[in-house]
Amino acid sequence: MLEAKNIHFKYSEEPVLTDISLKAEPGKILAIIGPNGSGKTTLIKILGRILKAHSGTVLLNNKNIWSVHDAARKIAWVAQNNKLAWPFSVKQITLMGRFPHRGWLSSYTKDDYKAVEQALNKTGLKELKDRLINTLSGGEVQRAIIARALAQEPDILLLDEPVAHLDLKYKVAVINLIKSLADHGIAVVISLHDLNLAAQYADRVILLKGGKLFAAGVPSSILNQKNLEEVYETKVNIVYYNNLPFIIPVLDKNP
Amino acid sequence: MTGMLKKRKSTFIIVFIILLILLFFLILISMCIGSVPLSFSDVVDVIIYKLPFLNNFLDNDNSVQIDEGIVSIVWDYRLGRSLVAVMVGISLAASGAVFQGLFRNPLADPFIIGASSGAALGSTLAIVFGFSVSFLGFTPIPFAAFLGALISVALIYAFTRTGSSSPPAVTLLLAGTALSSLFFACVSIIMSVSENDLHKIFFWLLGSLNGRTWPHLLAILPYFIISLGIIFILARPLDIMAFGEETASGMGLNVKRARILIVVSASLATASAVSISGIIGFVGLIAPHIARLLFGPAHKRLIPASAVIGALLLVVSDDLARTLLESRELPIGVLTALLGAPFFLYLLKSKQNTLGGE
Repeated sequence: MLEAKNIHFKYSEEPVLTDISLKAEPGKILAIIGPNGSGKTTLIKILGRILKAHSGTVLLNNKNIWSVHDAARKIAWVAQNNKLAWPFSVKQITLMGRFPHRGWLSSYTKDDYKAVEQALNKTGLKELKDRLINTLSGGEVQRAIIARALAQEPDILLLDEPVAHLDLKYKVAVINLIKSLADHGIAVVISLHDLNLAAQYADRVILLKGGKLFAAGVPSSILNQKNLEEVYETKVNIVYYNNLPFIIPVLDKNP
Repeated sequence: MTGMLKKRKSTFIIVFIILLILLFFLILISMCIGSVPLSFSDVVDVIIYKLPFLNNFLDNDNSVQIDEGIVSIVWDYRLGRSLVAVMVGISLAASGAVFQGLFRNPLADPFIIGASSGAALGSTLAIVFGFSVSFLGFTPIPFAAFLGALISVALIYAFTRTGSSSPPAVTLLLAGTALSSLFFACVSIIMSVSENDLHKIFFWLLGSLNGRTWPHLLAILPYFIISLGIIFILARPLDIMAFGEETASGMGLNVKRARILIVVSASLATASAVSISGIIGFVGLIAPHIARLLFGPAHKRLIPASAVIGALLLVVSDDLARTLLESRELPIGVLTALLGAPFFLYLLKSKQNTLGGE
């Protein structure tokens, strides 16, 4: 389990995150939502041990994450932009996920190749395993990066805007994949721009505004007209479909 | 970059062995070339004569008489020089591959980013001020070159670093050029002040293996072994760093440690090459590029393949440097520049869209 307590962070003078607390539980999807610049990416980096909070702690199974030297065996982080410097194959990229388990020099074993195979199967990349990353579509690249994260065999998966640039088909494929990972017991923390996706798939959402926690809870209680209009400074209508909220921005009729 | 041969481990090993055999024959051929032309069999005879276990084998045949003069030419001069060429080629190509991994940019050659000119300035200072204290076989000139290279790489890294992402190619190249110009200017000032060593220093700026043989080889050997030793353990970290330093650190890599080892080992390799051969550009650019085409980007294969290809390039370039003009020798750096600069421009053009960093 991953728990953040009273996180504060700033890059320079301006605070980016102020007093954020959250909990990521096994088998659940926690969505972080909020406007651009509200601190979603920074928060995920702090949870992933990429950045260190200025105050407050992140606990991994009740231990301070910075005192857990092999945290990368438990937490996998999928960045927003994954631009590789060199055209590795899908299989090579997935195998890199075994780095936290083997380090600089230990040879990869059968276990490692098994984990890679499973990750490729789960992400549906078995057929594409010898393809080079620069020949793949956006959705396939995103799945390859997730395969690398799965090869880490993490308990906690952090995803920063994993579907932002994907078309409908790939968006659904990636989200379904993430959902099935959560169903298998992984704790998922995901930042999303798409409020409707958050409404449908997340077990809990936290809504950020200007680096502060504006609201947190189940999607149906948080994603209401009042909260969203205040946070996004935009008029919205909410309709319900299968008891889940759908957010429809109100456009000017005569601009 | 397709990595056309990278699929199978066995293919890699076979091609790698072919490259090694090719290198071996090129060394033999280059020992035939020179002011005293020798036949292939002369050279082979000397080698057999000089190697004890083969020598016994030869005695049983009790046939060949060897001219001591030829032995000296082949063994003392030409073999020494060829091996220096091999070591310089390996060092430049391996450090090129490693710098490219660090900067995530296929244009990062030790010459382009200013490491070579930093090493040249270090060497120049050591020569002019006459540092001559050795310690356990560690000679001072390569060490001074190492400090020079280290300072320039640290400066380049500090100037081009843009938060978490890799530096845009243009920034890297401009910073490298500016730094090189600065170090060249420093070398020129030193040249003007201490006229005695004009020739030696001039030599560093063009690159040459003229007169380089066993003593020079021994002078850089410890540096060579240490730098290559470190470089070979960096393969996996360099792979991971292809995603950028943040993802690498998220995957549990101690990025700071990796970065220090990369900079130190690649600077050391550059310095050991520059301190005996002067500034030979573009080998660290061409060799990793060919290696990547053949074997793909994984550093476990890329680094050894670059090293062998670098050695091949240097041996061939040195042969050309010695034979193109009848009366005198060309500086080898001139040849690699003739070959490498157009290649560099081609890379710049063909990768224009992908070299922007993030």
